Amino acid sequence: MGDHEARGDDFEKKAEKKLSGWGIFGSKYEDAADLFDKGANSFKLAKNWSRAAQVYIKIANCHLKGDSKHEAASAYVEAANCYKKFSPQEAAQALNQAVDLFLEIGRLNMAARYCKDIGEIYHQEQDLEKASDYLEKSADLFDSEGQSSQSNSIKQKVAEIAAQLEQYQKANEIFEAIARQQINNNLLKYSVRGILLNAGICQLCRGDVVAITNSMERYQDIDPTFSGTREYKLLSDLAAAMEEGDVAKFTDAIKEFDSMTRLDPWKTTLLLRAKNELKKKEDDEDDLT
Amino acid sequence: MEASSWDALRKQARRLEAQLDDQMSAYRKLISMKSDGSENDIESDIERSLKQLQQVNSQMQTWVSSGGSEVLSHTLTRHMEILQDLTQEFYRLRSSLRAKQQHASLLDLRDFDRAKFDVEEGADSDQALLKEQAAISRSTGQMDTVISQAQATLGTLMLQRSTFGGITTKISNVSSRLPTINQILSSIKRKKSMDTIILSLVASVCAFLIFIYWMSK
Repeated sequence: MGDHEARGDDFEKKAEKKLSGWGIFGSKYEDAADLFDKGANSFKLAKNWSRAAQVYIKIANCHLKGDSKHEAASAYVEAANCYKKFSPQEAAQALNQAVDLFLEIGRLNMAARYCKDIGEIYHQEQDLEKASDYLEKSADLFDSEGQSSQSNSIKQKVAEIAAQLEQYQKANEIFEAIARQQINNNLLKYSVRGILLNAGICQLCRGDVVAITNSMERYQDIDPTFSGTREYKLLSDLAAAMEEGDVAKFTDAIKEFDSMTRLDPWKTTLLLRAKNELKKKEDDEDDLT
Repeated sequence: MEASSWDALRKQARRLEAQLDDQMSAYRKLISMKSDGSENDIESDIERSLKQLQQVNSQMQTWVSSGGSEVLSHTLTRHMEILQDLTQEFYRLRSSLRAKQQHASLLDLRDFDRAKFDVEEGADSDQALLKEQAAISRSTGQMDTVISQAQATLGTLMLQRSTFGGITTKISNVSSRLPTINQILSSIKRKKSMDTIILSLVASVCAFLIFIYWMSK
Protein backbone atom coordinates (compact mmCIF):
# COMPACT_ATOMS: atom_id res chain seq x y z
CA MET A 1 0.00 0.00 0.00
CA GLY A 2 2.59 2.58 1.06
CA ASP A 3 5.03 1.37 -1.57
CA HIS A 4 2.50 1.85 -4.35
CA GLU A 5 1.66 5.30 -3.03
CA ALA A 6 5.32 6.36 -2.95
CA ARG A 7 5.92 4.95 -6.42
CA GLY A 8 2.92 6.82 -7.75
CA ASP A 9 4.19 10.04 -6.21
CA ASP A 10 7.59 9.45 -7.79
CA PHE A 11 6.13 8.91 -11.25
CA GLU A 12 3.97 12.00 -10.92
CA LYS A 13 6.97 14.15 -9.99
CA LYS A 14 8.94 12.82 -12.95
CA ALA A 15 6.06 13.59 -15.27
CA GLU A 16 5.73 17.13 -13.93
CA LYS A 17 9.46 17.66 -14.46
CA LYS A 18 9.14 16.36 -18.00
CA LEU A 19 6.31 18.78 -18.68
CA SER A 20 8.18 21.78 -17.37
CA GLY A 21 11.32 20.78 -19.28
CA TRP A 22 12.38 21.64 -22.82
CA GLY A 23 11.31 19.00 -25.33
CA ILE A 24 14.02 18.78 -27.97
CA PHE A 25 13.51 15.21 -29.12
CA GLY A 26 9.97 13.91 -29.51
CA SER A 27 6.86 15.12 -27.74
CA LYS A 28 7.14 15.95 -24.06
CA TYR A 29 3.37 15.53 -23.72
CA GLU A 30 3.51 11.90 -24.81
CA ASP A 31 6.34 11.11 -22.42
CA ALA A 32 4.63 12.93 -19.56
CA ALA A 33 1.39 11.08 -20.29
CA ASP A 34 3.20 7.74 -20.12
CA LEU A 35 4.70 8.62 -16.76
CA PHE A 36 1.38 9.93 -15.47
CA ASP A 37 -0.24 6.68 -16.55
CA LYS A 38 2.24 4.67 -14.50
CA GLY A 39 1.60 6.96 -11.55
CA ALA A 40 -2.17 6.64 -11.84
CA ASN A 41 -1.83 2.88 -12.00
CA SER A 42 0.18 2.90 -8.78
CA PHE A 43 -2.42 5.05 -7.05
CA LYS A 44 -5.13 2.63 -8.12
CA LEU A 45 -3.14 -0.24 -6.63
CA ALA A 46 -2.86 1.80 -3.44
CA LYS A 47 -6.65 2.33 -3.58
CA ASN A 48 -6.18 6.09 -3.42
CA TRP A 49 -8.98 6.87 -5.84
CA SER A 50 -8.90 10.64 -5.57
CA ARG A 51 -5.22 10.89 -6.48
CA ALA A 52 -5.66 8.38 -9.30
CA ALA A 53 -8.58 10.37 -10.72
CA GLN A 54 -6.65 13.63 -10.55
CA VAL A 55 -3.71 12.06 -12.36
CA TYR A 56 -6.01 10.73 -15.09
CA ILE A 57 -7.34 14.26 -15.59
CA LYS A 58 -3.73 15.38 -16.05
CA ILE A 59 -3.21 12.60 -18.60
CA ALA A 60 -6.25 13.85 -20.50
CA ASN A 61 -4.85 17.38 -20.50
CA CYS A 62 -1.51 16.09 -21.84
CA HIS A 63 -3.22 14.24 -24.67
CA LEU A 64 -5.32 17.30 -25.49
CA LYS A 65 -2.15 19.39 -25.83
CA GLY A 66 -0.67 16.65 -28.00
CA ASP A 67 -3.86 16.65 -30.10
CA SER A 68 -4.79 13.03 -29.36
CA LYS A 69 -8.50 13.33 -28.69
CA HIS A 70 -9.23 9.61 -28.50
CA GLU A 71 -6.59 9.03 -25.83
CA ALA A 72 -7.82 12.07 -23.92
CA ALA A 73 -11.38 10.74 -23.96
CA SER A 74 -10.20 7.34 -22.76
CA ALA A 75 -8.32 9.03 -19.92
CA TYR A 76 -11.49 10.89 -18.92
CA VAL A 77 -13.35 7.58 -18.86
CA GLU A 78 -10.71 6.10 -16.58
CA ALA A 79 -10.95 9.15 -14.33
CA ALA A 80 -14.71 8.70 -14.17
CA ASN A 81 -14.27 5.07 -13.13
CA CYS A 82 -12.14 6.24 -10.21
CA TYR A 83 -14.50 9.07 -9.29
CA LYS A 84 -17.45 6.65 -9.18
CA LYS A 85 -15.95 5.15 -6.05
CA PHE A 86 -16.47 8.28 -3.98
CA SER A 87 -18.03 11.15 -5.96
CA PRO A 88 -20.66 10.40 -8.62
CA GLN A 89 -21.04 14.07 -9.50
CA GLU A 90 -17.42 14.38 -10.57
CA ALA A 91 -17.66 11.06 -12.38
CA ALA A 92 -20.55 12.45 -14.42
CA GLN A 93 -18.55 15.58 -15.25
CA ALA A 94 -15.54 13.56 -16.41
CA LEU A 95 -17.76 11.34 -18.56
CA ASN A 96 -19.36 14.46 -20.00
CA GLN A 97 -15.95 15.66 -21.17
CA ALA A 98 -15.28 12.24 -22.68
CA VAL A 99 -18.62 12.39 -24.52
CA ASP A 100 -17.79 15.82 -25.96
CA LEU A 101 -14.45 14.54 -27.26
CA PHE A 102 -15.98 11.40 -28.77
CA LEU A 103 -18.54 13.57 -30.54
CA GLU A 104 -15.76 15.76 -31.93
CA ILE A 105 -13.92 12.81 -33.48
CA GLY A 106 -17.15 11.24 -34.74
CA ARG A 107 -17.33 8.20 -32.48
CA LEU A 108 -21.07 8.46 -31.92
CA ASN A 109 -21.35 4.88 -30.71
CA MET A 110 -19.02 5.38 -27.77
CA ALA A 111 -20.45 8.82 -27.05
CA ALA A 112 -23.92 7.27 -26.85
CA ARG A 113 -22.75 4.57 -24.46
CA TYR A 114 -21.07 6.98 -22.04
CA CYS A 115 -23.98 9.40 -22.31
CA LYS A 116 -26.18 6.55 -21.10
CA ASP A 117 -23.76 5.97 -18.22
CA ILE A 118 -24.06 9.63 -17.21
CA GLY A 119 -27.84 9.36 -17.26
CA GLU A 120 -27.73 6.29 -15.04
CA ILE A 121 -25.39 8.02 -12.58
CA TYR A 122 -27.78 10.95 -12.23
CA HIS A 123 -30.74 8.59 -11.95
CA GLN A 124 -28.99 6.80 -9.11
CA GLU A 125 -28.36 10.16 -7.48
CA GLN A 126 -32.11 10.85 -7.87
CA ASP A 127 -31.57 13.88 -10.10
CA LEU A 128 -34.33 12.98 -12.54
CA GLU A 129 -34.13 16.09 -14.72
CA LYS A 130 -30.48 15.64 -15.60
CA ALA A 131 -30.89 11.89 -15.95
CA SER A 132 -33.70 12.45 -18.44
CA ASP A 133 -31.67 14.95 -20.47
CA TYR A 134 -28.64 12.69 -20.81
CA LEU A 135 -30.68 9.57 -21.54
CA GLU A 136 -32.55 11.43 -24.29
CA LYS A 137 -29.26 12.54 -25.79
CA SER A 138 -28.00 8.97 -25.63
CA ALA A 139 -31.13 7.63 -27.34
CA ASP A 140 -30.72 10.20 -30.14
CA LEU A 141 -27.11 9.15 -30.67
CA PHE A 142 -28.05 5.46 -30.78
CA ASP A 143 -30.74 6.35 -33.33
CA SER A 144 -28.10 8.14 -35.40
CA GLU A 145 -26.08 4.93 -35.46
CA GLY A 146 -29.12 2.83 -36.39
CA GLN A 147 -29.28 0.84 -33.15
CA SER A 148 -33.00 0.99 -32.53
CA SER A 149 -33.23 -1.70 -29.86
CA GLN A 150 -30.77 0.08 -27.57
CA SER A 151 -32.46 3.39 -28.34
CA ASN A 152 -35.89 1.99 -27.50
CA SER A 153 -34.86 0.61 -24.13
CA ILE A 154 -33.34 3.98 -23.21
CA LYS A 155 -36.40 5.83 -24.48
CA GLN A 156 -38.56 3.67 -22.25
CA LYS A 157 -36.50 4.84 -19.28
CA VAL A 158 -36.88 8.44 -20.45
CA ALA A 159 -40.65 7.99 -20.65
CA GLU A 160 -40.80 6.52 -17.15
CA ILE A 161 -38.80 9.44 -15.77
CA ALA A 162 -41.02 11.92 -17.63
CA ALA A 163 -44.09 10.35 -16.03
CA GLN A 164 -42.48 10.57 -12.60
CA LEU A 165 -41.90 14.28 -13.29
CA GLU A 166 -45.61 14.59 -14.22
CA GLN A 167 -44.93 15.19 -17.91
CA TYR A 168 -47.63 12.73 -18.88
CA GLN A 169 -48.20 13.89 -22.45
CA LYS A 170 -44.51 13.53 -23.31
CA ALA A 171 -44.33 10.11 -21.65
CA ASN A 172 -47.45 8.94 -23.49
CA GLU A 173 -46.07 10.04 -26.86
CA ILE A 174 -42.78 8.24 -26.27
CA PHE A 175 -44.52 5.02 -25.23
CA GLU A 176 -46.79 5.11 -28.30
CA ALA A 177 -43.84 5.71 -30.62
CA ILE A 178 -41.97 2.75 -29.10
CA ALA A 179 -45.06 0.54 -29.41
CA ARG A 180 -45.49 1.44 -33.09
CA GLN A 181 -41.88 0.59 -33.76
CA GLN A 182 -41.87 -2.70 -31.85
CA ILE A 183 -45.12 -4.06 -33.28
CA ASN A 184 -43.33 -4.75 -36.57
CA ASN A 185 -40.74 -6.94 -34.86
CA ASN A 186 -41.88 -10.52 -34.34
CA LEU A 187 -39.84 -10.87 -31.18
CA LEU A 188 -40.62 -7.55 -29.54
CA LYS A 189 -44.34 -7.44 -30.28
CA TYR A 190 -45.13 -9.50 -27.19
CA SER A 191 -44.06 -6.63 -24.97
CA VAL A 192 -46.15 -4.08 -26.85
CA ARG A 193 -49.06 -4.80 -24.48
CA GLY A 194 -46.99 -3.71 -21.50
CA ILE A 195 -45.85 -0.56 -23.27
CA LEU A 196 -49.40 0.35 -24.27
CA LEU A 197 -50.49 -0.23 -20.68
CA ASN A 198 -47.82 2.21 -19.53
CA ALA A 199 -49.02 4.73 -22.11
CA GLY A 200 -52.61 4.27 -20.93
CA ILE A 201 -51.63 4.80 -17.31
CA CYS A 202 -50.03 8.10 -18.29
CA GLN A 203 -53.29 9.15 -19.92
CA LEU A 204 -55.21 8.18 -16.79
CA CYS A 205 -52.97 10.45 -14.75
CA ARG A 206 -53.86 13.35 -17.01
CA GLY A 207 -57.49 12.84 -16.01
CA ASP A 208 -59.02 13.59 -19.42
CA VAL A 209 -61.65 10.92 -20.15
CA VAL A 210 -62.10 11.87 -23.81
CA ALA A 211 -58.34 11.68 -24.38
CA ILE A 212 -58.30 8.26 -22.71
CA THR A 213 -61.00 6.94 -25.01
CA ASN A 214 -59.26 8.30 -28.10
CA SER A 215 -55.97 6.84 -26.92
CA MET A 216 -57.46 3.39 -26.46
CA GLU A 217 -58.83 3.49 -30.01
CA ARG A 218 -55.34 4.45 -31.19
CA TYR A 219 -53.86 1.54 -29.24
CA GLN A 220 -56.18 -0.88 -31.03
CA ASP A 221 -54.97 0.55 -34.33
CA ILE A 222 -51.38 -0.01 -33.25
CA ASP A 223 -51.97 -3.56 -32.00
CA PRO A 224 -55.17 -5.32 -33.19
CA THR A 225 -54.83 -8.01 -30.50
CA PHE A 226 -54.67 -5.47 -27.68
CA SER A 227 -58.45 -5.39 -27.16
CA GLY A 228 -58.41 -9.02 -26.04
CA THR A 229 -55.78 -8.61 -23.35
CA ARG A 230 -56.09 -8.11 -19.61
CA GLU A 231 -54.21 -4.83 -19.96
CA TYR A 232 -56.97 -3.48 -22.19
CA LYS A 233 -59.61 -4.69 -19.74
CA LEU A 234 -57.85 -2.92 -16.88
CA LEU A 235 -57.56 0.32 -18.83
CA SER A 236 -61.20 0.26 -19.94
CA ASP A 237 -62.40 -0.49 -16.40
CA LEU A 238 -60.29 2.31 -15.00
CA ALA A 239 -61.52 4.71 -17.68
CA ALA A 240 -65.14 3.80 -16.92
CA ALA A 241 -64.56 4.24 -13.19
CA MET A 242 -62.94 7.60 -13.84
CA GLU A 243 -65.82 8.71 -16.03
CA GLU A 244 -68.32 7.76 -13.33
CA GLY A 245 -66.14 9.17 -10.57
CA ASP A 246 -66.27 5.88 -8.66
CA VAL A 247 -63.18 5.33 -6.48
CA ALA A 248 -64.32 1.92 -5.24
CA LYS A 249 -64.74 0.63 -8.78
CA PHE A 250 -61.32 2.04 -9.64
CA THR A 251 -59.77 0.19 -6.72
CA ASP A 252 -61.59 -3.06 -7.54
CA ALA A 253 -60.27 -3.06 -11.11
CA ILE A 254 -56.70 -2.51 -9.92
CA LYS A 255 -57.05 -5.19 -7.27
CA GLU A 256 -58.26 -7.74 -9.78
CA PHE A 257 -55.33 -7.02 -12.08
CA ASP A 258 -52.85 -6.96 -9.21
CA SER A 259 -54.02 -10.34 -7.92
CA MET A 260 -52.71 -11.96 -11.08
CA THR A 261 -49.87 -9.68 -12.17
CA ARG A 262 -48.07 -7.84 -9.42
CA LEU A 263 -47.82 -4.13 -10.22
CA ASP A 264 -44.30 -2.72 -10.28
CA PRO A 265 -43.43 0.37 -8.19
CA TRP A 266 -43.65 2.73 -11.17
CA LYS A 267 -47.21 1.67 -12.03
CA THR A 268 -48.14 1.72 -8.36
CA THR A 269 -46.94 5.30 -7.99
CA LEU A 270 -48.80 6.57 -11.04
CA LEU A 271 -52.03 4.70 -10.34
CA LEU A 272 -51.96 6.03 -6.80
CA ARG A 273 -51.71 9.55 -8.18
CA ALA A 274 -54.67 8.94 -10.49
CA LYS A 275 -56.69 7.46 -7.64
CA ASN A 276 -55.91 10.39 -5.34
CA GLU A 277 -56.98 12.80 -8.08
CA LEU A 278 -60.23 10.87 -8.53
CA LYS A 279 -60.85 10.82 -4.79
CA LYS A 280 -60.31 14.56 -4.63
CA LYS A 281 -62.83 15.07 -7.42
CA GLU A 282 -65.33 12.83 -5.65
CA ASP A 283 -64.92 14.77 -2.42
CA ASP A 284 -65.50 18.02 -4.32
CA GLU A 285 -68.73 16.65 -5.75
CA ASP A 286 -69.87 15.55 -2.30
CA ASP A 287 -69.18 19.04 -1.00
CA LEU A 288 -71.25 20.51 -3.80
CA THR A 289 -74.08 18.13 -3.01
CA MET B 1 -3.65 23.83 16.08
CA GLU B 2 -4.22 22.43 12.61
CA ALA B 3 -3.21 18.95 13.69
CA SER B 4 -5.78 18.94 16.47
CA SER B 5 -8.32 20.38 14.03
CA TRP B 6 -7.73 17.47 11.67
CA ASP B 7 -8.02 14.97 14.50
CA ALA B 8 -11.23 16.62 15.68
CA LEU B 9 -12.71 16.45 12.17
CA ARG B 10 -11.72 12.83 11.81
CA LYS B 11 -13.20 11.92 15.18
CA GLN B 12 -16.41 13.71 14.25
CA ALA B 13 -16.58 11.85 10.94
CA ARG B 14 -16.09 8.52 12.69
CA ARG B 15 -18.79 9.34 15.24
CA LEU B 16 -21.23 10.32 12.49
CA GLU B 17 -20.49 7.12 10.58
CA ALA B 18 -21.17 4.98 13.65
CA GLN B 19 -24.36 6.94 14.32
CA LEU B 20 -25.48 6.41 10.73
CA ASP B 21 -24.86 2.68 11.01
CA ASP B 22 -27.18 2.54 14.02
CA GLN B 23 -29.83 4.64 12.32
CA MET B 24 -29.69 2.50 9.19
CA SER B 25 -30.14 -0.66 11.26
CA ALA B 26 -33.18 0.84 12.98
CA TYR B 27 -34.58 1.95 9.63
CA ARG B 28 -34.09 -1.50 8.12
CA LYS B 29 -35.80 -3.14 11.07
CA LEU B 30 -38.65 -0.67 10.80
CA ILE B 31 -39.19 -1.49 7.15
CA SER B 32 -39.38 -5.22 7.80
CA MET B 33 -41.76 -4.73 10.75
CA LYS B 34 -44.25 -2.73 8.65
CA SER B 35 -45.08 -0.35 11.47
CA ASP B 36 -46.44 3.07 10.59
CA GLY B 37 -45.76 6.59 11.74
CA SER B 38 -42.19 6.79 12.98
CA GLU B 39 -40.36 6.15 9.71
CA ASN B 40 -40.55 9.85 8.82
CA ASP B 41 -38.65 10.76 11.98
CA ILE B 42 -35.91 8.23 11.30
CA GLU B 43 -35.68 9.34 7.69
CA SER B 44 -35.17 12.98 8.61
CA ASP B 45 -32.61 11.95 11.24
CA ILE B 46 -30.66 9.97 8.66
CA GLU B 47 -30.83 12.81 6.15
CA ARG B 48 -29.53 15.26 8.74
CA SER B 49 -26.66 12.95 9.68
CA LEU B 50 -25.74 12.44 6.01
CA LYS B 51 -25.68 16.21 5.51
CA GLN B 52 -23.46 16.70 8.55
CA LEU B 53 -21.10 13.99 7.34
CA GLN B 54 -20.99 15.68 3.94
CA GLN B 55 -20.03 18.97 5.60
CA VAL B 56 -17.32 17.32 7.69
CA ASN B 57 -15.92 15.69 4.54
CA SER B 58 -15.92 19.09 2.81
CA GLN B 59 -13.95 20.59 5.69
CA MET B 60 -11.50 17.70 5.55
CA GLN B 61 -11.20 18.25 1.80
CA THR B 62 -10.39 21.91 2.38
CA TRP B 63 -7.79 20.93 4.96
CA VAL B 64 -6.14 18.43 2.61
CA SER B 65 -6.17 20.86 -0.33
CA SER B 66 -4.25 23.41 1.74
CA GLY B 67 -1.17 21.28 2.14
CA GLY B 68 -2.10 17.92 3.58
CA SER B 69 0.05 14.85 3.00
CA GLU B 70 -0.75 11.75 0.96
CA VAL B 71 -1.76 9.73 3.99
CA LEU B 72 -4.42 12.30 4.86
CA SER B 73 -5.59 12.36 1.25
CA HIS B 74 -5.98 8.60 1.35
CA THR B 75 -7.94 8.78 4.59
CA LEU B 76 -10.21 11.44 3.13
CA THR B 77 -10.93 9.30 0.09
CA ARG B 78 -11.90 6.44 2.37
CA HIS B 79 -14.35 8.65 4.24
CA MET B 80 -15.87 9.85 1.00
CA GLU B 81 -16.35 6.24 -0.10
CA ILE B 82 -18.15 5.47 3.15
CA LEU B 83 -20.43 8.49 2.70
CA GLN B 84 -21.21 7.36 -0.84
CA ASP B 85 -22.08 3.83 0.29
CA LEU B 86 -24.31 5.07 3.10
CA THR B 87 -26.13 7.46 0.79
CA GLN B 88 -26.84 4.78 -1.80
CA GLU B 89 -28.01 2.36 0.89
CA PHE B 90 -30.38 4.97 2.28
CA TYR B 91 -31.81 5.74 -1.15
CA ARG B 92 -32.39 2.06 -1.80
CA LEU B 93 -34.12 1.42 1.52
CA ARG B 94 -36.28 4.51 1.17
CA SER B 95 -37.33 3.53 -2.34
CA SER B 96 -38.38 0.07 -1.23
CA LEU B 97 -40.35 1.52 1.70
CA ARG B 98 -42.09 4.01 -0.58
CA ALA B 99 -43.01 1.22 -3.00
CA LYS B 100 -44.57 -0.86 -0.23
CA GLN B 101 -46.49 2.09 1.17
CA GLN B 102 -47.83 3.12 -2.21
CA HIS B 103 -48.88 -0.41 -3.06
CA ALA B 104 -50.76 -0.76 0.23
CA SER B 105 -52.31 2.67 -0.21
CA LEU B 106 -53.46 1.88 -3.73
CA LEU B 107 -55.34 -1.23 -2.53
CA ASP B 108 -56.36 0.04 0.89
CA LEU B 109 -60.10 -0.72 0.64
CA ARG B 110 -59.56 -4.45 1.07
CA ASP B 111 -61.50 -4.83 4.33
CA PHE B 112 -64.50 -2.85 3.12
CA ASP B 113 -64.66 -4.87 -0.09
CA ARG B 114 -64.42 -8.13 1.81
CA ALA B 115 -67.48 -7.19 3.87
CA LYS B 116 -69.31 -6.27 0.70
CA PHE B 117 -68.29 -9.55 -0.88
CA ASP B 118 -69.61 -11.49 2.12
CA VAL B 119 -73.00 -9.83 1.75
CA GLU B 120 -73.17 -10.70 -1.95
CA GLU B 121 -72.07 -14.24 -1.30
CA GLY B 122 -74.84 -14.69 1.23
CA ALA B 123 -77.37 -13.51 -1.32
CA ASP B 124 -76.61 -15.88 -4.19
CA SER B 125 -73.69 -18.23 -3.57
CA ASP B 126 -74.28 -20.61 -6.50
CA GLN B 127 -74.13 -17.89 -9.13
CA ALA B 128 -71.05 -16.42 -7.50
CA LEU B 129 -69.32 -19.80 -7.64
CA LEU B 130 -70.17 -20.19 -11.33
CA LYS B 131 -68.78 -16.75 -12.10
CA GLU B 132 -65.64 -17.56 -10.19
CA GLN B 133 -65.18 -20.81 -12.11
CA ALA B 134 -65.54 -18.99 -15.43
CA ALA B 135 -63.00 -16.41 -14.32
CA ILE B 136 -60.57 -19.13 -13.30
CA SER B 137 -60.93 -20.84 -16.68
CA ARG B 138 -60.20 -17.62 -18.53
CA SER B 139 -57.22 -16.99 -16.28
CA THR B 140 -55.83 -20.46 -16.95
CA GLY B 141 -56.13 -19.90 -20.69
CA GLN B 142 -54.36 -16.59 -20.46
CA MET B 143 -51.62 -18.12 -18.35
CA ASP B 144 -51.04 -20.78 -20.99
CA THR B 145 -50.75 -18.07 -23.61
CA VAL B 146 -48.27 -16.14 -21.51
CA ILE B 147 -46.19 -19.24 -20.83
CA SER B 148 -45.95 -20.13 -24.51
CA GLN B 149 -44.91 -16.58 -25.33
CA ALA B 150 -42.30 -16.71 -22.59
CA GLN B 151 -40.87 -19.96 -23.91
CA ALA B 152 -40.58 -18.56 -27.43
CA THR B 153 -38.96 -15.44 -26.04
CA LEU B 154 -36.53 -17.50 -23.99
CA GLY B 155 -35.39 -19.47 -27.02
CA THR B 156 -34.84 -16.35 -29.04
CA LEU B 157 -33.03 -14.67 -26.18
CA MET B 158 -30.63 -17.58 -25.82
CA LEU B 159 -29.85 -17.40 -29.53
CA GLN B 160 -29.38 -13.66 -29.20
CA ARG B 161 -27.07 -14.15 -26.25
CA SER B 162 -24.71 -16.41 -28.17
CA THR B 163 -24.70 -13.93 -31.05
CA PHE B 164 -23.88 -11.07 -28.73
CA GLY B 165 -21.18 -13.15 -27.10
CA GLY B 166 -19.46 -13.52 -30.45
CA ILE B 167 -19.91 -9.85 -31.21
CA THR B 168 -18.51 -8.86 -27.84
CA THR B 169 -15.41 -10.96 -28.34
CA LYS B 170 -14.76 -9.45 -31.76
CA ILE B 171 -15.39 -5.92 -30.56
CA SER B 172 -13.03 -6.44 -27.64
CA ASN B 173 -10.30 -7.57 -30.02
CA VAL B 174 -10.83 -4.61 -32.31
CA SER B 175 -10.99 -2.07 -29.50
CA SER B 176 -7.84 -3.48 -27.94
CA ARG B 177 -6.03 -3.21 -31.27
CA LEU B 178 -7.10 0.29 -32.26
CA PRO B 179 -5.39 2.18 -29.42
CA THR B 180 -2.27 0.13 -30.08
CA ILE B 181 -2.35 1.16 -33.74
CA ASN B 182 -2.72 4.78 -32.72
CA GLN B 183 0.19 4.39 -30.36
CA ILE B 184 2.33 2.77 -33.07
CA LEU B 185 1.51 5.55 -35.49
CA SER B 186 2.41 8.24 -32.98
CA SER B 187 5.64 6.44 -32.12
CA ILE B 188 6.51 6.22 -35.81
CA LYS B 189 5.81 9.90 -36.20
CA ARG B 190 7.98 10.69 -33.19
CA LYS B 191 10.90 8.60 -34.47
CA LYS B 192 10.54 10.13 -37.91
CA SER B 193 10.81 13.63 -36.48
CA MET B 194 13.83 12.55 -34.44
CA ASP B 195 15.47 11.13 -37.57
CA THR B 196 14.75 14.33 -39.43
CA ILE B 197 16.35 16.41 -36.70
CA ILE B 198 19.43 14.20 -36.55
CA LEU B 199 19.83 14.27 -40.32
CA SER B 200 19.56 18.06 -40.32
CA LEU B 201 22.19 18.35 -37.62
CA VAL B 202 24.61 16.08 -39.46
CA ALA B 203 24.13 17.98 -42.72
CA SER B 204 24.67 21.33 -41.04
CA VAL B 205 27.81 20.10 -39.27
CA CYS B 206 29.24 18.86 -42.58
CA ALA B 207 28.42 22.14 -44.29
CA PHE B 208 30.11 24.02 -41.46
CA LEU B 209 33.25 21.88 -41.76
CA ILE B 210 33.36 22.44 -45.52
CA PHE B 211 33.08 26.16 -44.90
CA ILE B 212 35.98 26.07 -42.42
CA TYR B 213 38.11 24.09 -44.90
CA TRP B 214 37.33 26.57 -47.67
CA MET B 215 38.26 29.54 -45.50
CA SER B 216 41.60 28.03 -44.44
CA LYS B 217 42.58 27.26 -48.02
